[in-house]
Amino acid sequence: MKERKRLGKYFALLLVIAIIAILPASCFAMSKKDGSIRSGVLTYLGTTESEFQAALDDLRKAVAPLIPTDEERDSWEHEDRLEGFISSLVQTRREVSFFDSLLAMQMALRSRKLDEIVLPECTGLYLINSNSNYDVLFSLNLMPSSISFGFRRNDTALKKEFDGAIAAMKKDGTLSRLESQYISEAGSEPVPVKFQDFKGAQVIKVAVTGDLPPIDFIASDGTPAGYNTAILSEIGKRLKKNVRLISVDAGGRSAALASKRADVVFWYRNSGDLKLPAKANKVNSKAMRNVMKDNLDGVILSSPYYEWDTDLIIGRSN
Amino acid sequence: MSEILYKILIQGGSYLTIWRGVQATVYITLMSLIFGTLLGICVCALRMSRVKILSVFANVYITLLRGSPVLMLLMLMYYGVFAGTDFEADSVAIVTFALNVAAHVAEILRAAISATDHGQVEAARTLGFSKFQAFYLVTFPQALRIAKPVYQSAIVNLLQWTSVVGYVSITDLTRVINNIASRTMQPMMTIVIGMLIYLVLAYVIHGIFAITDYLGVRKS
Repeated sequence: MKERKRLGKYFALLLVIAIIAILPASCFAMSKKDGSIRSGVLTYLGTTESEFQAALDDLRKAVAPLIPTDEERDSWEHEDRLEGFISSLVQTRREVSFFDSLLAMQMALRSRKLDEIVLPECTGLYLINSNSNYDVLFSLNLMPSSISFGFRRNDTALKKEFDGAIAAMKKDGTLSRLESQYISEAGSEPVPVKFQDFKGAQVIKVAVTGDLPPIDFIASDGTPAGYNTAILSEIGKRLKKNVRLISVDAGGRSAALASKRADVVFWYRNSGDLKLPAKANKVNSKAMRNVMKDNLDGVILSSPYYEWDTDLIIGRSN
Repeated sequence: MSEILYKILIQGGSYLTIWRGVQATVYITLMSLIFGTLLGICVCALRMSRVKILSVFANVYITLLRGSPVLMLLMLMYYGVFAGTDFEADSVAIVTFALNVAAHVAEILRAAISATDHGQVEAARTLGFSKFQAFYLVTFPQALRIAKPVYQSAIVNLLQWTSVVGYVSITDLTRVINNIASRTMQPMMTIVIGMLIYLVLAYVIHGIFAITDYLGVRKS
């Protein structure tokens, strides 16, 4: 009996220690540390949050010499000076959180769990046009990004066909026409496109999330719409294949692709090197290399069909 | 405000999309409940069986299913077990939720049966009731009464768990709400509306149970 009581005490003590060990991680997640700014970023598939954070810290060190001293200030050329976000980054460290969906990220911003969120220019503009609670804090021309189609590694034939169609669309101007129709000149919500039906032809299943308007978007009648679907409809027409859209939660995309529930997913990635001012140090850390390269297991990407240089840093209006 | 509500609820037939989402949620909940309850009764019978191996098997099943997140199970079933088959996403979701509900129902039933007075069964047996009669006429009605409130909250839980089916390409109420929030960029308002709809559905379930309680009282 005594033995049992003693064991019980040890067990209770162990439980208390375990709870204390777990607490800091869960209680203080996304809490503000040392006055840093909390930034939300859409999950970079292929890298981790801590790696992204390390890369950003390295970037911060690299751009630190770009703050001119008072004597230097007058003699520096315009392009040597820091503008906007980079200047702010030097002054205040960013603490990055990854979000699977724009929706969750937007709610974190609204509820003050985040101070700013980073979005592609077109999505950022869509957000501030639809909701007056948000405003652009900075424009960021640091990292060129793009969207490609992702396929299973062994699906090289399909990738080749898509690459061919994208190249042809670039050449004959279809891509830029659709881009201006659905992105740059899109007044309001995108309209759904019609998909041509090819009897007996192969069906390509494409996973859409509806979470990145106006690129990946689901209209009010529940149909996928937006730039992605317009591109897909055009590719379907050119390849004479049927395209079937399946709507999947952002977190389920990789599983859908790997398990053959979907043949194609949309892949958001960095494309090209960091664009730093001439006076900045080179960032060549392991973390930054990992963030910049596509660390893709089991996925191959088509050539990009939408590229942008500018990301918007968005915060609350007030 | 009214413009935002219009955008969320009316614009472009949005209410029809919401209705379709409600239908999907109710359909998956109802079907999983029916299959899950039937399977749960079987699992409970195995769990209470005197044959050791059957009872251990049922116990392992209950521990596994109750101890694992239903979203993980759903992803495993849809993208793993049923990946190479022609099973539609909603069928896989129904199977998954039925398996999960069965584990809960089995435990609810076992707890309810254990809570009844075994002395009454013994008394019934001495009065000449068969084993089945003693169970059906003495234990079962009492167990049912004990299990009812817990079963009711299990159904409401099930309704809420189905909100993860968006991960397996089903457009249920939660997914519709998320899509509308992304379209309108008004997540707070949209999610409040979504929650209200779930609340109404939960109260419909409570209402159905309240009616059965009322009818039961009148009958007795």
